[in-house]
Amino acid sequence: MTDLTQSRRQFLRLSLLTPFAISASSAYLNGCAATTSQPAKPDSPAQYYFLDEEAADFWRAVLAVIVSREFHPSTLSNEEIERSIARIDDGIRHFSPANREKMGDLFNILSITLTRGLTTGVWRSWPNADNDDIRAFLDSWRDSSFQTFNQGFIALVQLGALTYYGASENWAKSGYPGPPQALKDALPQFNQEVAG
Amino acid sequence: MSVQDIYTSGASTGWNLVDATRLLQDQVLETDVVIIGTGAGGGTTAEILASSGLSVIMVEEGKLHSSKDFKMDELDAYPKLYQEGMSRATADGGISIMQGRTVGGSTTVNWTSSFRTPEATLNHWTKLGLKGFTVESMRPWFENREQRLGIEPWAVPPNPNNQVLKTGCETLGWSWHVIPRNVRGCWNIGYCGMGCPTNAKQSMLVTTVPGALSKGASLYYNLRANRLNFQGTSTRNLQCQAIDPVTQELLPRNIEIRARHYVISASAIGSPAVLLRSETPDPYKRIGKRTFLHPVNASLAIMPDKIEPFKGAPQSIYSDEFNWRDGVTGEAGFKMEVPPMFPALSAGIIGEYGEQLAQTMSQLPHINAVLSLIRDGFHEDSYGGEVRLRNDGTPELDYPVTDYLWRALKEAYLRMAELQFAAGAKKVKFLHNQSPYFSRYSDAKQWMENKELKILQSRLFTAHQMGGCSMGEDPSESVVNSDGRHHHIDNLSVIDASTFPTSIGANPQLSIYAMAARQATQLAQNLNSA
Repeated sequence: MTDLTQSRRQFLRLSLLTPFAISASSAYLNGCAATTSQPAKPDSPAQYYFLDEEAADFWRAVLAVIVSREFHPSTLSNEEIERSIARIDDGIRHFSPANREKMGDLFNILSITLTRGLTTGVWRSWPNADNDDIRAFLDSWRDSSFQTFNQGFIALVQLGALTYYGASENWAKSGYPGPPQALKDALPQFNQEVAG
Repeated sequence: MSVQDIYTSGASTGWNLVDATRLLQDQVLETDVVIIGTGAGGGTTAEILASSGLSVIMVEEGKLHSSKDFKMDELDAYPKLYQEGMSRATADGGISIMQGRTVGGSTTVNWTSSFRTPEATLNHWTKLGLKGFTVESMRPWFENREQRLGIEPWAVPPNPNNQVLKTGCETLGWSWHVIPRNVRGCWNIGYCGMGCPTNAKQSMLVTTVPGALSKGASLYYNLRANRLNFQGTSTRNLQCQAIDPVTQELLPRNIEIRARHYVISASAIGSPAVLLRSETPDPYKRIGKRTFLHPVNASLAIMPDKIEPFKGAPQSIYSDEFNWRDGVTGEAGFKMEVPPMFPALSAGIIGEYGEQLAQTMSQLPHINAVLSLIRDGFHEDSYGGEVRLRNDGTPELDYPVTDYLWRALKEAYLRMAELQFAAGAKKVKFLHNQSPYFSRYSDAKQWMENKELKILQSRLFTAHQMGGCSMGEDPSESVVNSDGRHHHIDNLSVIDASTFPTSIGANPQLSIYAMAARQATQLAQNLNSA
C-alpha cells in the first residue's frame, strides 16, 4: 500500500468523524507507520518508548507554541523542550493500550504530508512550520465543528501543557513552590532517598 | 510525628502480598471468597468477610503503591495512580474520567470528602423499590463507617480556595456547610490527590485492606480479573491474568481462583466489564446500562489576594443551595465545591495554550476554581451512559450529555461565576474552550446565556462513577438485588458504586462504605451459616 492511499484512507476516517479510538482498522495504520505502540528501536538515539522521530519533531515545533516560547524566551531552552518530550513519551507509556493506539492514529495523521496538510493547514514539515501556522492549526482544531478535531486539540494541548507545567523544573513559572522542605524532611520516603 | 509505611511493616509480619507479575508459574487458588477490586466497595467487604473468619483473596488490577511511594509530585502520581494513566475519558472524549487504579482504588487518590447519602436520594431509592435503604435502616451503617474511618466535619478553618466558596455564599445568602473528611491526624498539606504521604487519609489502602490482611486475607496485585466461568446458575471459577503496571499490557501468567462466593467490586466501569467479558446471564440487557458520573463543570477566578489553591485540605466547604431546588426529580441540581489547583492539573484543564496559558499560569497563586457536580439519573431525560467492551476487552463508557444536563450545566456555570464575583474576583472565565475572561458578572452572564453549549467545548470532568449494575428487586430493571446479590447467579455479588440506581448527589465514598458494610455483614452471616 502506498503512502498516498494510506493517507487518503486516514483522511477519510477522520472526515467521517471516526474517533481516534475506534480502530478496528488500525492494524493497517500500525503496519504502515510501523512505530506507534511499539517500543523505540534500541539504536534509536532518543530512546523513546512510544514516539517516533516524526512525532518528536511535531512536539519540538508545537510544544514551543503551547508553552509559548515567545513568552518565556530566555527560560525555554532546546534541552528543556527535549526533557518535556521525554516526559510526554513517558506519560503516553502509562496510557492504556487502547489510548496509546488513539495517540498513534493521531500522530500518523500529523506526520504524513497529505493528511497533515489537509487537516492542519500546515503543509511544510514540522521543523519548518512557522508559529503562526501552528497557532492557526490549534485554533482551527479547537473551534472546529468536527468533534474529532476538538478531541485532538484537547489531547495535544492537555498533554503538552500538563507535562510542561507539572515538571518540578517549571514549578516556579506558575508560582508554585512545591511541597515545603520541612515536610519532606519529616517524611521517610524522602529521607530514605537521601540515605540512598 | 513519624510516618511508617504500613505495607513494609505489614510484610514483615507475614501479610500475604503477591505481585502477579513476579510469579514464576501459573497457579490455581482456592478460597471461601474472592473479591475483585480493593476500592471503597472491595476494601470494606474484604475486612468484614475476613474478620468473620472466612478466607479471602483480593484481586487488584492496579499496583501496590503505599506512603513510601507518594512523593507529592503530580507527574509522578497521575500516570501511576489513575486509570489509563490519567487518559481515561468517555467514548467521545467529552468527559475526562478521574478514577484510581491502585490498591485502595479511588479512595487512595480522592480528596477525602465524605458525605452520608442524602436523605432525598435514599427516599428516592426506596420509592424505586430498593429494600434496606431507608434513612432509618442506613443510619447505623453510616455511623459504623464514620467511626471506622475517622469521618468528621473538618475542624480547621478552610484554606483560602474554599474560603472563596464560603464568602461567595455568605454574600449572596446561599447556604454553605463544612465538609466531613475521612482523616486522622491530617497535616493539612493538600496532596490527597497524589496519594496521602502521611497515611492520615483513611483510605482503603491504610484501613480495611490492611485490616483484611491482618486477618489472613491475601492480596494479589497487578492482576486483572478477566472472566468468570459459570456452570448452570453457579460461578465455577475466576480466570485472572497478570498485567504490566506501566503499559497495562497483559502478561502470560494466569491464575485461576475457585471460591465459594465471588464479589465484584471493580467500580462502575470495571464491574460491568467483568460481567460483560464473562458473558454473564443478562436476559434483560441491563449490564453496563445507566452509568452516572456527576458530570462536573468549573469556573476559574483571578482573586485580588493570594489564594495558593494548592495548599491545605483540598475540599472543606460545599454548597447545596442548588442541589435540590427543583425537587428530587425535577431539573438537575448541582453541588458546589472547589478543586485544588496544582500546576499540572491546572494547565491540563484550563484549555488555553501559548501566551494566554503562560499568563494564566503565572497567576496560579491567585486562582480560585469552583466546580459543580451535576446530580444525574433522577429524571427520565438523564438515563446515564453505557459501558461497552473495546476489541481488547477493556471497558469504554459512552455517556451522552442530554439537553436536560446541558440546562443544569449552564445554570451551574452562571451560579459559579456569580459566586466568584460576589467573593471579590477580579476576573472570571468559564472552563470552556472559547470563554474569555470577564471583569463583570453581567458580561459573563450575557456570554453564557447566548452560548450554545457543546460537548468538547465545555470542559467536563468526572471523579464519581456510579451505576451500570443497578440494584433493584425487579430483575427486568436491575442486575443485582438490594443485597448486592446477582439476580441469576447464586454465588455472585456486586458490591460497589456500580449498583447505585442513580447518582448520589454528593461525593459518593461514604455511600459506598455504608452500603458495602451492610451487604458484606449480611453476606458473612449467610456464608458462615451455610
